Amino acid sequence: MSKLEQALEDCLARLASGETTLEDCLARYPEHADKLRRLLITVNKLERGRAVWLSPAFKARARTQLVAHMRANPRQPRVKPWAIPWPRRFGLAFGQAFNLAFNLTAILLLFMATGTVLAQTALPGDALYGWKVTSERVWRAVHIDPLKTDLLVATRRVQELVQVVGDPQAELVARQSYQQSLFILTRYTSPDSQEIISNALVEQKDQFYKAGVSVPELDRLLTTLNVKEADLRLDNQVAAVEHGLITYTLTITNTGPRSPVTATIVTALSPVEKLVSASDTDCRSSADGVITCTVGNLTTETPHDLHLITAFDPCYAGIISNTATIADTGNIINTNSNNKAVAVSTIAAPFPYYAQVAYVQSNGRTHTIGLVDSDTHLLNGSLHIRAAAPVWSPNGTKIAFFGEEGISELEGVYSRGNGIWLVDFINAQVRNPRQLVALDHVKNIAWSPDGTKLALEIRPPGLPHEIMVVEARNGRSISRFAGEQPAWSPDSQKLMIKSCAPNCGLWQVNPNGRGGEQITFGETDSYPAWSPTGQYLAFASQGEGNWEIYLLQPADGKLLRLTQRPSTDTTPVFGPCGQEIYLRTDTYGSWWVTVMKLDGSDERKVQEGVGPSDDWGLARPAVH
Amino acid sequence: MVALKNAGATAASDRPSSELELTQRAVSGDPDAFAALYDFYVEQIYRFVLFRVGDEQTAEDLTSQVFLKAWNNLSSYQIRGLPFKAWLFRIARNSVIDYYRTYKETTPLEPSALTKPDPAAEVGDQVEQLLQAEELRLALQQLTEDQRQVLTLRFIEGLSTEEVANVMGKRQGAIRALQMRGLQALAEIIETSDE
Repeated sequence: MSKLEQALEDCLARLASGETTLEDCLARYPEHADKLRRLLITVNKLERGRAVWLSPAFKARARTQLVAHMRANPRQPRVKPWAIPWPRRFGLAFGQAFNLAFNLTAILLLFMATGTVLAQTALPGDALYGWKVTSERVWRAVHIDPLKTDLLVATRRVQELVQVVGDPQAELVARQSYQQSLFILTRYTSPDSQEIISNALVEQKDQFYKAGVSVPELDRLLTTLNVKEADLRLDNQVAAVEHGLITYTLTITNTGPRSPVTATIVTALSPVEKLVSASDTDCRSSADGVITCTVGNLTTETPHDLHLITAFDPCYAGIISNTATIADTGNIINTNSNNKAVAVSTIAAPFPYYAQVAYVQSNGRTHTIGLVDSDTHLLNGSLHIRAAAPVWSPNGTKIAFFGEEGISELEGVYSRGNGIWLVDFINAQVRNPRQLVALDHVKNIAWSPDGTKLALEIRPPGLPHEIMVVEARNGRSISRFAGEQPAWSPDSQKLMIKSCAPNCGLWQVNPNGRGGEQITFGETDSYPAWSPTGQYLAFASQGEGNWEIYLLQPADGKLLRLTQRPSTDTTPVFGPCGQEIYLRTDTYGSWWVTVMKLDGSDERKVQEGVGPSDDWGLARPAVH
Repeated sequence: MVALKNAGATAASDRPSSELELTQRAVSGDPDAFAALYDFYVEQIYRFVLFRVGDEQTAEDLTSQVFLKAWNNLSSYQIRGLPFKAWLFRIARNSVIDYYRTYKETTPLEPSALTKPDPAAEVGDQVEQLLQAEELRLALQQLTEDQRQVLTLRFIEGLSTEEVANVMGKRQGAIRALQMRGLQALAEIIETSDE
């Protein structure tokens, strides 16, 4: 050994024992002081490497791994008598020393036991928390069932995390501790152990869910283990389709393993549907037709039926598909494809589409409005007496009509006499009559599709026909001009009228009578009616010998004659969905309201006795 | 300059009796005793491995392996032979060597590898510790393998010359020589980097 090496070793030993300082030691070896200083400073820098710190998480994790490994690979103890420590002194003082040792040990054990008990309630961040964790390690080391211990420890971590959520530092520690518990559990690979662990993790997840705590590591582990907290089966059946309503029965069956659970069912209605009712109270519907129902207490014993009733567009025909889904709400891991179910309804196009028809009967002197539906069910044979030229408001809640001579005899409010009257329509009855405009000699009333205006025809004896437009809410006059038989365009911006100024035919004019454009050129073209979409214009005409019904497609000028028979067919009106035409005809021996398809086929009788009337403008039916 | 102190320079002859007893119990198959030994040595083993491989994750993995191997091979350990600590470091040393054999293309040491200073230190001290540890690691990388091992075991892990000799299977004189040459080289490297 060189002298420098000796000096270095000596200084290192002295400095380590603390018996000298660097400068003192250098003074001992002045001939090597410079080199020695350089070396000792380097040693000092090396010793600073001890500041590198091992993460407690890894330390604990590796320890757990090691303990598990040791348990899985136990060593057979070697009996080596020479290794048994014997007391060095075995003299007379042994009894006294033993008593002292015993007492100290007892005190120590008491202290340890007390501290351990107190530590069990400690939370992350508490002074005794480390003690608690340590005691758990000891507990685990001595317990005969490591898995059971690990699960209990994990449950403790769950409770701790739930309690300290909101305290960032404590929560961080609690999360790390819980993650470590999860890591330990992943080491059990046997199917039996994994099943036990899975069930426990499901319960832990539920606890977190209830506490509003998200633990992504747990979710990942559940996914890895392919744990199904509760496998829910969803069936979606169309129970009934009638009267424009669809009844869905959604059956949710909890096939376990957990019971009960709460599920969220989500279903998006088709654009033609609207929710009418739901059997469960905890359902809500968004503006875009998404229905979300929370169904609680789903047990494995009894499937739960959720009934949804929707109303579909009465004019719709085709397929309505409804997909219901069990949403993953965080407490249900549902990987089964049964969590989605589709119900399909086929809505056949009816003929005719359901409608209520206000018809007019006359005894030759007075008129009465009756009500029948498209299935020929008489709803009210005398909806209103002394009334003619009925028209529905666009939403079907009101009926306007001409209150003819003699209506004042009904007394009360009717004492105001002739004119345009409004009534509310409720359950096939009329209510709240009020006079809109006091007028006489009115017929052919038309309500604008936007509901704001009425157009009507006035023809006092000996005077030319006139069209009058009034406000629907107060009867105030908007315009008055020459013409007859007005019909509103679907956009409520134009009127189709019969006029012979300057040439006879059907003219499209503005609501003030101006801006006329001749659409048809038959001298007898009469009683125009627009289909709801504006695709068709129906009218009656006598151009080919007798009154027949025609259908014009204004877009391409295509004209179709729907009737061709010796009788009289007149006053066409479109059904509410625009798929059929109601008309008056005497082809069956007396005056009938009939309905036919847009190609003139499948004519069906709806109501008999809708005549005679000397003025078709009073007897034209109204359909809604 | 802080006082130099070799806290780990404990001679085999005066090792704490508790350590000896723990070792005896561990050899007899007591896992709790071995776990206690783990608690006692894991920091040192980790540091030793980390300064050798430079990668935190690898160091953790190797550290775990060291103790698993130790448990598996306790039957080959003789109480009266090599001190347990030296035996453990020998396993660690061999694990590192095996690691380099397996992964000849070693991952360059990332600056973040030594990013866990003493948590008890103040923030400013932690930053300083990080810089120093990183500089130290880079400097050690420039030494020979034997020099690096000696300086790491001797001054970072605090082993005595005798213990280092046991770990490396060399005579104490050889260790002292390696120590001297290593310190001189390291001093030069550090001084150069400081200029």
